[in-house]
Amino acid sequence: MNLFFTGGLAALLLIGLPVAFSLGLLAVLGMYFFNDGSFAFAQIPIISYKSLDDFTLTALPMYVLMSQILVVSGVGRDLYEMASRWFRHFPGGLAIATVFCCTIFSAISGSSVATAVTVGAVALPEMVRRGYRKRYVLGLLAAGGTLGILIPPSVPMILYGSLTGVSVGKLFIAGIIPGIILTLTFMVFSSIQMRHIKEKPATWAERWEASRKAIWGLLLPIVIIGGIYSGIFTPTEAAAVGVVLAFLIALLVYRNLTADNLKQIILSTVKTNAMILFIIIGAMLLGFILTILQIPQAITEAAISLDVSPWVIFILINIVLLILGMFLETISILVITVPILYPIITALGFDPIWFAIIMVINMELALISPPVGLNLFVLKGLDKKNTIIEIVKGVIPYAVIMILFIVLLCFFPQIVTYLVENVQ
Amino acid sequence: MNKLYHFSDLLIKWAAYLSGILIFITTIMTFYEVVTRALFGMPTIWATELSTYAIIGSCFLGTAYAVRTYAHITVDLIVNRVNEKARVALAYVSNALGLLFSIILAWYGFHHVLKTFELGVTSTSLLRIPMYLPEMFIPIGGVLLIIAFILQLIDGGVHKGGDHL
Amino acid sequence: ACSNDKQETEASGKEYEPATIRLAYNLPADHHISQGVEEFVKKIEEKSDGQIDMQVFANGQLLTDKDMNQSLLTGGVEMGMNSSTIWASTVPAMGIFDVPYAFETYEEAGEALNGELGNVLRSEMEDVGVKVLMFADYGFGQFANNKHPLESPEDFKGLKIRSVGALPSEFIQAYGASPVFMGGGEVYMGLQRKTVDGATSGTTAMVQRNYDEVTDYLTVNNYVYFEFILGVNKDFWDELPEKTQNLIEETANETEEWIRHQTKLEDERTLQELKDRGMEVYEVPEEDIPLWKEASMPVWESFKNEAGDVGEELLDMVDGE
Ligand code: NA
Ligand code: NA
Repeated sequence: MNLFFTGGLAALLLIGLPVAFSLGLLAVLGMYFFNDGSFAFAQIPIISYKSLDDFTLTALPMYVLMSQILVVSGVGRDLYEMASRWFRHFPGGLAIATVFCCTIFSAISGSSVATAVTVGAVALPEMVRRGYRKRYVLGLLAAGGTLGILIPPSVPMILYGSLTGVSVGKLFIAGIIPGIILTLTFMVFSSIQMRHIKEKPATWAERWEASRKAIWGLLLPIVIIGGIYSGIFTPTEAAAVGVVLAFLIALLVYRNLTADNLKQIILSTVKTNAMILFIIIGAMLLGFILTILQIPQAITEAAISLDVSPWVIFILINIVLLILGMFLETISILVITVPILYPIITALGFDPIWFAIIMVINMELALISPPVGLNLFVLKGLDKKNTIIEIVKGVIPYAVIMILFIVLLCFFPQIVTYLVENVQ
Repeated sequence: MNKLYHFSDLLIKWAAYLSGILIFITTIMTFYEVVTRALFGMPTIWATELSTYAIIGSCFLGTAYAVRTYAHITVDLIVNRVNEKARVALAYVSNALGLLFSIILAWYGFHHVLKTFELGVTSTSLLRIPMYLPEMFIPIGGVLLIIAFILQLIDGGVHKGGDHL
Repeated sequence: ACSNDKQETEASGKEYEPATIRLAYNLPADHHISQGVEEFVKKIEEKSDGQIDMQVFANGQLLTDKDMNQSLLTGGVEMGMNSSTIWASTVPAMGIFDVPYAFETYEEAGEALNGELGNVLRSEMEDVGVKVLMFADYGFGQFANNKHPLESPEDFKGLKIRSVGALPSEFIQAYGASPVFMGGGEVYMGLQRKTVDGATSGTTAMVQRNYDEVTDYLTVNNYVYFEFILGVNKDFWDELPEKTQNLIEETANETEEWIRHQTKLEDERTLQELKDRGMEVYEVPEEDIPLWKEASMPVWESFKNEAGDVGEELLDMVDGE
């Protein structure tokens, strides 16, 4: 049965059936062969509807829309230009600028996909135009986007909190230092990787000029972060505020929203939105049939039933999460595994908040691991000429960094727990 | 025949515009909710719920357009490395499989909506929206997908979708 | 269940026909209802000597409360448990649990559910295709907020309170507050950042979700008796051998009693815990309850409109004593 699903998915994907339909059709076939057909088929519309029936998900199309407005109007370009003038004289300066932008958008949105969409749409064409190697840029953006769920606000942390009863506020605080460390590591690594491109420093006049031009774009994250942390709106609603602001800036300041521009904005938003949401539907359908056949549960339980030391179990858990992360999307993995893992982790004496951060980093890995990795798909969606293989090759070093980071957190759990214990 | 082909593509494109409008409406409703709640202390009872329906609609109305414009992500590992003949064959197979999924989605989606209608299920909120209305997006999206995959099959292995839309 | 059935079930479990039953629900493992369900499952498996294989999907792994109705009705799972509030959207009579002050004590609720009221609800549910196995009590609903102590219905005026479900929202409106709808995952942050002023739930959930960290005041007004329903797909049920049906029904009845007993203890324990964690608690004195009930009458009207004659019948039953 496991072979049916892994082999089936590989076959469907390789003959060129889009990912969303491969996942969905495999779920249908699984229902037909293993779960007495028609009963199960009646679940298809129920699960499809349920996949999208979540208010927090409405943020996603709105962030896609915002990123399109930012791109088409030129707001994003100016913002990026500012970051590049401040950073470009460093080796791989634009890479640093890109991670910087990723961090800002991570602090705006709770979703990694939204972060990758927003920054990717601006940074990808710009970096490639300036001679950065595309594969490196794609890897950087896919990985940089994942910071969206480690740096608060974070949808997976909210979910972990609601599944376990661990305080979401504490989880958010716990994410701050790991988020900053991972951000800096990404900056340093990408700067070294792309060190050959070093542009001549911008003059102070140029920097200030770009900053002045980018002021409207900079206003955006400030208003959004300020609005979220002062409680004026929720992270989900922040997306709508972002769209309205971006729209007003494009309309009143940049004055370049023509009917043609608007048409382009609408149609590319629709495409990206339907692409991502339909993958979520496919993944949820597959998740439903796998769960009802108890496959993920069996894998997890087999790994933890071994009579070995807590750390061996911990390593096995991480391997299981890595494997599940290849095939399922993050929400499904959390919902399936957290209720099983949480009691075990606490019984073994691990700190539940520390483990939550380990889980979130695993979810970051899931977003960039093939064959099913939403961030990979988002970047592919930005430009048809991008291939999944190229993106995956680019992302490998970052995946290694994340795995090493998990190891680091095992040796220094204080990275996670320090702020939680010392901030009220 | 040719006329039907073009009309079908036009239908898919109209659905895409509708999908985009739903995303715009979601933005406006959510923004309105923030303004009335934060400035006037008067939250709406409809913004959150209707936004969710609109986003569900935006996905199902837009997905056929994404098929026709090749915006759905595919793994091109093999497709890019085989000769033209094999590529055409693979395109037929994958589009036929896509069609199969779409038919199942539309068919069972339709029966689901019918059942919801008969039971008179409403939303659990203050609005008590008859649930068959938002659920109707599923069979509609399914039918649009069926049309899109049939057009793909008519095109054969050639990428006729995309830019001409 | 009569004593005759009991003797049968005490015989060897080997006599049961093999069956696989999938049971889905969405409550955390340490909730007392979850513990009841796990015990229910364990007993059935033991008594049938493993012939009846119960596959449990807890914590929303498979289905959330919202999807449960339709999945259960179409046989996606054989058994499912979710909140009566959700069922009210399909079977309006189930809204009786959301009618403020319909049940004022645990004992009263237990008696009603074991009596005529329970029978009416069971038959309403069977009409759409679900047999009710168990009324699992969740506990009384209360209000937590971060503005000021709520010591009378007037104190609710102008507050923004996170709400789920039609009737609880109408209750909030009846007291002059505004219901706010936001995703479940955003409530904690919404309360923390004061996007909303308060939320309503049972104290068991408030402890579980650490509401004490983000709200200061708890009002114990026992305005509603939250109920969860364990249902089984009727077509599936009718196909089961009588012996199996008897075993399941008996075990469900035992579990229902255990949960009802536990609900009271858990409500008391978690209330104490919220006090210990530093929340300022106002418990509405018994003599004030008629006042709170009177102010909630618009919700009674609304329930009558939704549930029609059956609704009126149910209201007479709960108001009759
Ligand atoms: Na974030
Ligand atoms: Na993955």
